[in-house]
This record gives sequence, structure tokens and C-alpha cells, in this order.
Amino acid sequence: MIAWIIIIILISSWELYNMRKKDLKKEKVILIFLTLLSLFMVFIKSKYPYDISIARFALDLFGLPH
Amino acid sequence: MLAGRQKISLKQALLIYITLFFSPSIRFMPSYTAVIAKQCGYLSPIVPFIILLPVIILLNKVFMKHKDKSLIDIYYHSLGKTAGKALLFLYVLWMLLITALYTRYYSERLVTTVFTQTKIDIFILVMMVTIAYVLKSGFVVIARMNEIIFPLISVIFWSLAIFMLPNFKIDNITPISYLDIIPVIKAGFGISFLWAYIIYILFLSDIINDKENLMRQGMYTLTYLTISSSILVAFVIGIIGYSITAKIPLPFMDAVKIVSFFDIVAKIESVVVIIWILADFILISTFSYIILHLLKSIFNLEDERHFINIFLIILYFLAMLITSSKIELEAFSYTIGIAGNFLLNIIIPYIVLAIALFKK
Repeated sequence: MIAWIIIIILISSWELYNMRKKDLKKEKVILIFLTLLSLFMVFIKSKYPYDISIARFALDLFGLPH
Repeated sequence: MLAGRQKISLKQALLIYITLFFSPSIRFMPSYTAVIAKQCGYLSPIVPFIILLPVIILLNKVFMKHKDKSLIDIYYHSLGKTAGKALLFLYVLWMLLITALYTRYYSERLVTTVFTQTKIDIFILVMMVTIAYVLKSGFVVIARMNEIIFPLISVIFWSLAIFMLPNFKIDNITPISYLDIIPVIKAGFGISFLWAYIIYILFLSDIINDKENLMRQGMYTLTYLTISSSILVAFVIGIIGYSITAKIPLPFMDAVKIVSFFDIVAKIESVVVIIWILADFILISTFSYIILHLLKSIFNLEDERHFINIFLIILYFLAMLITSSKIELEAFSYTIGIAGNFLLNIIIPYIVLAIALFKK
């Protein structure tokens, strides 16, 4: 988990630095949103490594057998 | 000579379309058609041809009418900017989900066939790193790589078809009667979303040149896909029979394992795994590029390349979180996957293109 957080923050910081040079404002907002989303996914995957299944959730939602 | 260095030709785009058709079709088509259409499963690919032919005609007419517009612009033009963007965002979410699904299938396949003792995330990570490196160079590089990968896949596929001939039993794909018409149509509807991936490819129409040839080249491509898929299903059912094809997870692999050409060529399933990985690479990288391209258009971004790394990290986690078992994965793609693809790739494009054709 820690390794992933470090990788994500390093990549995002590097991209934000590049965006600042080009003055890309909208891109910065979207990158921050995607970074937060990826950190949330890291948290979910670490906390519940085998419990979460998007496919199962979708199948249950539509009442389909699995 | 292409007008811009960052553009690809229609021929390159259609070759990518054929390559990304390969991986899901050999995994999904034989077993799906065998379950529904039984011994006549190989006739099912005719149905998607009939369904998709009007889409090609509509696309051609719309591109002729709006010569300077891309397919994304046509969506905006037909539905209005806000509704068009909302619909395209739905496409982004759906494509993200199916790209994660294909990524998971790619690694599941490697773990179940060759590397049974290896962890699944290793293969996903390797694929993501490779795609990140390639996507940085733009879509032209993927198109050129595919110009090498496509002939390789085609040569191996058609060679396998020839090698399978001695094991082929005509009794397995007969009899055919009028009672098979409905199951064949049902199976045909289920597999037609694979043909409809042309819509995804044409989301890149602003970087595709000579779209005026779409009618002719699109027809050739549809015909090629229909013939090759019919042969694929016919050989799998013809070798192992429809009842076994319907029950096993990778029937094409099992059909290939049986291949022995006069005892000279044997154990060629490893070759299939290689071309399968290559096809998956083109599939996942193309879909990833299309998602980023759609995001660029929806949010009016100047440069989408800054998102490649973080997007692929999200894709990695999505592929890991999409399912906890292969049974769920298959249940999802056989039900919601087919329905969602049919809605977004066939019904909605029909409506949008029809509006674009009549709207001034």
C-alpha cells in the first residue's frame, strides 16, 4: 500500500510540474481528481483484497444469477 | 502520403479493428454460439454482418455529409453539446469497465493456461508498463506496430485453420434445418457487439485520413471478419463438438491442442498464447487511447498525455477489483457485458447517426 501511494504521488507531482510549465489549468484539476481516485482504489484494494467485486455488485444490482 | 504525421490511414484503423476483434472472439464466440445455436453456431456471424452493414452505410453517408467533422463532433451535432458530452462520458465509463474486463481476462488466461504458479497482478503490471511506454508516443505508433502484429496473427490463424483440417469432422457441424434459424439469430445478436467495435475506432476519426473510402474498405473488413469468425467457430465445433465447446472455458485452445499435422507439427498452443497476448496488447492500448481521447474532447483539454500513467494505475486497480472469481467475470460478460455493448455500440449509434443524417 505504502509503495503504491509513493508511486502515485511521485507520478502526479511530476505531471503537475510539467503542467505548470505549460500552464494547463483544467488538466491540473482532472489530474488531481484522478490521483485521489487512484489513492481511493489503493485503499480499497489494500483493506478488502478479496471482498470487492464490481462484477458481483453489477450482477446483484440487476438480479442476475452468478 | 498522409496529411499529418500524427494521423493514421483508414486502412490502418480498420486493421486495428480486426486485431482487437481477435482476442475476445476466440475466447467468447465458439462457446457462446455453441450454447445457443449448437452445431450451427458457425452460421451466427452472418447476423452481425447484416446488423452492422446499415451502420457502415449510415457512417459513410454521415461522413460524406459532414466532411469536416469527426464522429465525436457528429455526436455533439446530433444530440447537442451537453447531451452529447453526457453520452460520451457514459461511453468513457463503459469503455473503462470493459478495458478492465479485457485486462483481467488477459491475465486470467495466462494464469490458467501457461503460468499456473504465477500471481495474476504481475501480468497486468507488465502490460500496463508496456502500454504506458507506447501510449506516450501517440496512436500512430500503435497503428504501425499493428501493421506488423496483424499479418503475424493472420498467418498463424489461417495456418492453424489448415492444420486443423485433418481433425475436422463434418458430422459435428451438421445437420442444419429450419429449426436452427431462431437459435442462429439469437447467437448472432449476442456476438454482434464485437463487430460494433468499429464505433470505438471511429471515435478517433479526427486522426483518421481518407474516411471517404469507409464504405468500400468497411465492407471488405466486415466480410473478412464474418468469414474468419465463421471458420473459427466451424473448426472449433467441427473438431471437439458443440456439447464440449459449450462447457469448456477456452475451446479454441483445446481444439488447437488436438492439432497434429502428419505428426510434424504438434504442441502449437504456445503460439496461440503469443498471438493472443499481442492481440490483447493492441486491444487494451487502443481502448486506453480512445478513453483518453474522449476525455480530451469532453473536457476540452489541450493535452491528454499527462494522464496516461495515472489512468493506467486506475485501470490496473480496476482490473484487480472487477471480480474475485472467473465465474463472476464470465457471468458479467455474458449478461451485462453483451447488453451494455449492444446498447452503446449498436442501438445508440443507429439513433445518433440517423439524427445526424436528417439534421441540417
